[in-house]
Amino acid sequence: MIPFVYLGSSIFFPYSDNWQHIIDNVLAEYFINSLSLAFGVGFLSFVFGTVTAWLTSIYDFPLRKIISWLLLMPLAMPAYIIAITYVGIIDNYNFLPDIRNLFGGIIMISLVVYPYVYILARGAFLEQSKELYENAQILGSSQLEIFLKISIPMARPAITLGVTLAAMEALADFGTVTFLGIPTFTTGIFRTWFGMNDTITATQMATLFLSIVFIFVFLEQNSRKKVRYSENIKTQSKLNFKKTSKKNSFFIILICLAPLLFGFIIPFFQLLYWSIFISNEIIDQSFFEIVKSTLFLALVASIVISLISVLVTYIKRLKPKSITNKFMQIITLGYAIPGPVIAIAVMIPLSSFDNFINQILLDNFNVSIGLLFSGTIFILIFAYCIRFLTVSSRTIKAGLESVSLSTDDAAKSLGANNLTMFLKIHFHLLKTPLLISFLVVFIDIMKELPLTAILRPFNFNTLSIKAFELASDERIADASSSAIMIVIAGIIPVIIITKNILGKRNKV
Amino acid sequence: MNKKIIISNLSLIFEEKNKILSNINLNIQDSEINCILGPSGCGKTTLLRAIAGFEDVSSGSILKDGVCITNSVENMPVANRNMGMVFQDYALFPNMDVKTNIEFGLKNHSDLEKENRVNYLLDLVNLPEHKNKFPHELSGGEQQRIALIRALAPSPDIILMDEPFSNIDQDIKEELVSDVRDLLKELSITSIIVTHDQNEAFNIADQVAIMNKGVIQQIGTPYDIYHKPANKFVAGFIGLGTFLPVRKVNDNSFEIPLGLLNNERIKNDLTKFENLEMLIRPDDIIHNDSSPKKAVILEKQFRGAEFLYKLLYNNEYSILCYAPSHHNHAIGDSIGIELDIKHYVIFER
Repeated sequence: MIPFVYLGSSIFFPYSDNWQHIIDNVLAEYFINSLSLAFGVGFLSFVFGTVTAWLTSIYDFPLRKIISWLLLMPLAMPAYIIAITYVGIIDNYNFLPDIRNLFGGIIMISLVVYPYVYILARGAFLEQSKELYENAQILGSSQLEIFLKISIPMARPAITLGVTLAAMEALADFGTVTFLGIPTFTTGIFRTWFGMNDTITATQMATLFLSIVFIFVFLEQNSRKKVRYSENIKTQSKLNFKKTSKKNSFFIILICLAPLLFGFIIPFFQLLYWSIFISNEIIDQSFFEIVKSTLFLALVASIVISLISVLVTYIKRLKPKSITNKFMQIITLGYAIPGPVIAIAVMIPLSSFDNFINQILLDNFNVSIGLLFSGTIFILIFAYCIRFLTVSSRTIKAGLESVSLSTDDAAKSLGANNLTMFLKIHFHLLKTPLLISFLVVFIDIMKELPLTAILRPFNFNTLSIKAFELASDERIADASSSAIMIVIAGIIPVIIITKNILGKRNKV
Repeated sequence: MNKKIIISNLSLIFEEKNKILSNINLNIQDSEINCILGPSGCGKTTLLRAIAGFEDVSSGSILKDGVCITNSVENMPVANRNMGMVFQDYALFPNMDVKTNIEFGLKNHSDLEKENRVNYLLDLVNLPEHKNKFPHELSGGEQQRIALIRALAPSPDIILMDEPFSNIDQDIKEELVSDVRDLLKELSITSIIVTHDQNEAFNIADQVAIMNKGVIQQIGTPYDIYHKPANKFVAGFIGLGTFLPVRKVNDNSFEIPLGLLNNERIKNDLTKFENLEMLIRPDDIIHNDSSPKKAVILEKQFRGAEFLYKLLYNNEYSILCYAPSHHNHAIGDSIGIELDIKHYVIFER
């Protein structure tokens, strides 16, 4: 909470001359670029995500099963890595259009975030009842009409959530826009902080940005409140996949393969090729050290975050009106907040706290313990919590919501207290969401760039920082070994998650 | 008869304005099956949840065996009330098999005792073969019975059931309702069942409390509630019927469009009021081809053994009438009818 209070209070700090410069020269550009990025990515991932989700949940065509889970693969690919790869490719082939601009940025980010929309929309489409679909057919609707008039509106809550996640990812992006040279709010804050060395102005910009994000999130949550479709679960039967002609199958496969090809297959194999044949980076002891510290950091942080998520969602279920919830609503906005903003919000209060403790110890006991919180891995995990609690708690909340409230009442009426109820019932039902939440956070932390770069302890390196540093030095091929490690590590959780979700579907 | 539960002046106000329960007074008789019957949104489930301890009340109190378990200040924890509850969606724990579900509420029992209790209960509802199945492998009716014995397992003083039959298919519902009634009677356990279905309530209950808009309208046996409804809401909600105006002929005689009312008690009551009307149930009208009074058939419903005719009498008054199935008349025909009223139910208009 303190970080946010600090950010909020920054509006009362004196405004430096730098503000005049920012307002006159760059603020409008930051603003327009950030917004265009968010809307562009939201729109493109909506198109990629819903079209592929619809095709794979309605039609039966060769390779459907394998394609429907391969479509999730781009999730393993961080946006800045795909951008690095494509810039590397384009540098080799001059006839390709340059992507070092806003439009390129939108495409790069969309190619890796559309799976959010895809997975949520597909889930919703598969849940839609056969009766509803057949009813529309009897009433004379064509496939396209059913898609536009029934399936999409029915799946609206899920699609909105997916698109919001995608747009937030774009808004909070740091690596891609920095690498492609697109000035956005996120990079602007970073530049003001470290380029102009003006922490206060950077904080004030962060606050301004945050207020805009809050408005968006508020609008999104309100729109979700109004729309609530529910179907009668009892009469629901699942849709059979529709047979298609060979010609149509060919087109469907082509459409589904497009985002997959550009979002995963091409960059993946390019990276693989570079890392094996071109890279001068030697795989040695220090490289393994980096791999080890990356995995360690991601592991610890994702366990901590998942546990906190369980705790807060559980409190929310037990006491829907408690203050913790209001607090949580603010904290869980973290996903929309760019890394540099969180970094500022966490760094400054924690380091003053550290200095304060140090001063006391120094004055009274004449010992110095150094920067206990802000100089260690603690601050990183703390910042990750703010950033990734949304993702984690949303998954766990969804899992917990699928357990009917009367289950809790039943357990209580049979004499169980909250702890027994959790251990005996909820924990078992939450295993899958917990695993998913853990893995999603794990991948996200492995990919994470700005927070890690700013807040890491001295001499602490991760794969993502390594890859980005090398790429920024125009050593794209050398960056590939770190990049490919991130991607490969990311693939494993994606496969587990997909198997888990698909496996469940098949059982039902 | 002992009063197991005494609810007095109970009110539940939600967010200042919304009165969900208002001034509820209800006694639950020991070892009897009590039904709370009312249309959806009338507050009956809230009342049940207040008895179970899931809701905090605004005023009034609930006593169980003479001990206060709920008032506006104190609310005994759900777990300490020794009540079993069956939920509308059964709320079986999906991660546990039937046996583990039933054992859930059995604390401080040895494994052997638990085993015996589970077997005994499964035998009670004739489902011993489902012991190791999971909830999703059971049919709705089976889940319902498992939910019931799970609630019964810790030997509660009272069993509470919230719309227990609403998810059951019609064709097995009646059988299940009477099975549950037999079981509850055999165990002679006090039970409170919430339902919106009057047939269900009539089939299972010893005592019925009718609720509407958070207020208890009438408490009585199913027979009394049908034949002696306390007010117009109950009369309209329970059973079929129409209302006919009561006209004062002179100080000593009253009539309704179908004939004179010659019941002394009624005459005494009626003199005090004006603008009266009378509830006419379909069983108050007898179809008789030779009767001089004729009514025109507006609608008819075939119900197997009988027809339910909706008639128009004297071009003005609509009434309902049951007729044996072989009296098959066409819509628009005039048929002879007679009055045969046993219970006079009269309200002010």
